[in-house]
Amino acid sequence: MPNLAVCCLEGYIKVEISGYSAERFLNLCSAHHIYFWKLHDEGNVYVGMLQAKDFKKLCPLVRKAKIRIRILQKSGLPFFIKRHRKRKLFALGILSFFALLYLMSLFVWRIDFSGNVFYTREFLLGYLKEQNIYCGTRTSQIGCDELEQLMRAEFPRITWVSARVKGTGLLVQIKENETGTGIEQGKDQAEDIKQTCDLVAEKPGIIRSIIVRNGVPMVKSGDTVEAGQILVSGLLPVTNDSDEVITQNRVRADADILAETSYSIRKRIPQTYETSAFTGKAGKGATVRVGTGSLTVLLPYGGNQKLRIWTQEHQLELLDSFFLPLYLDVIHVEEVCIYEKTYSQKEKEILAEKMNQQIIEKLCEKGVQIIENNVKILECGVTWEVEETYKTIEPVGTPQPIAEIEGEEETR
Amino acid sequence: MSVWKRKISEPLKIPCDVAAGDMIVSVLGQNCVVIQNYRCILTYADTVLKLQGKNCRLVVRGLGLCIVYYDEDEMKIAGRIQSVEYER
Repeated sequence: MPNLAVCCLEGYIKVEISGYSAERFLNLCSAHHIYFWKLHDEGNVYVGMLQAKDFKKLCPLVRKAKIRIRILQKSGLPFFIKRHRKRKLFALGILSFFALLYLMSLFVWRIDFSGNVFYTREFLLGYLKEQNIYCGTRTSQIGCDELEQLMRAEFPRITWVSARVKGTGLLVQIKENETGTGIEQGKDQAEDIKQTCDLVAEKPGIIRSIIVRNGVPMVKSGDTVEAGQILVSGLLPVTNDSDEVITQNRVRADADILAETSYSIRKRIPQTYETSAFTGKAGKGATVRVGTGSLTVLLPYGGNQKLRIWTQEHQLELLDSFFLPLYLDVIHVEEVCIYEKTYSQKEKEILAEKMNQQIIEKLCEKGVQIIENNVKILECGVTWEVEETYKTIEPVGTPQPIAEIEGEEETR
Repeated sequence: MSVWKRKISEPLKIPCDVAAGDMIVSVLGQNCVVIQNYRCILTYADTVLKLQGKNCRLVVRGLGLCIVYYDEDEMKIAGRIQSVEYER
């Protein structure tokens, strides 16, 4: 059986074969490389398909096998053209359609990003626009390698980027630095690495472990420290044989110090909040957008309250990744009634738990280990409060320049 | 297959269809049969299809038998297959 596309292009014929020795005719056809397909028996006749170019070869075989053959149907492009040969505008329309389709395929009509969390889609689209890449740019003008290099250089948070043009779409895949501030911190650390300093506690707590790499430890495990207290001194004393301090060398104090700290967060919330309820009246509409032009059709919904409107955007996609600049936005309109509602006890608990989870996530991102967590809901008349306390173990010790010592110059 | 052909083809691991020209009949479920290495069509009707092979005849019986495609070597038959028989 020939390929369906070949059949359609070259044309095929449905025929009816009748006569005494139709089997002999089929064998003769097979020997002359003429093949039928979808051949079936309809009582005394066989009905099957064959290619149009093979039909003319059948004449001698028909005579030889003494059968009769009748054309039932002609299909395919040659017959279609012959049938519509007088419809010149129709043909012109078809040609224009394919020409327009080809023209459209030369441009980018959709830009997608994946893997971006910190940089929003709008921000990245704005950046691409600065680089003259937007919906409507010719695909041949987009240098993917160049774009990748530019993005890596421009955005320090992006650790890996891949851009590729697929069909009429540009897909930019991004991997961001998860810790986020790592690069900036790293730069700062590199600048400060030569500066001498002490390590001081940025918040009060109880020291749980201290491992000093450089400097003199001023506290030990189990000590209670206050904010601003020196934990590791950057002044290294040099003593003589009599254990007398001759001089003090300045170093950059470096240590891993873990301290037990506590956080207390209190948030006051009103007893009531605004919420909305769907009244049952709804409307629908649609917007057709082509390039910068648009046409919106919105059915009347018959209400006079506040509306909740959302839109679903659909872009015309002919084949996989063959996008066209034609959009259909389906608009949903719902009438809502806004009213005040008092928090129930369960809602308060859910909200408090949600806030608690957000804070835990933030603390975990900073590398803080939570060992105790308490959430309390307190009633205060017209408001209520969420009090969250955390007992944590976290790294402490922030660099601070060494304070000038009186008479240091004289010692030197 | 004759004895001398078997003696030659077996050590050389030549398949039977190549050595002896046997038909290859592949039955796919109850609705499809693919036959290779046939010689010619002897009879074709809605309920029976008889094919000539090199060494034997093959009879396919069923209901609504339709030749999906065929060429000089291969044929695909669709329909409700009831039996596939060999005749000497």
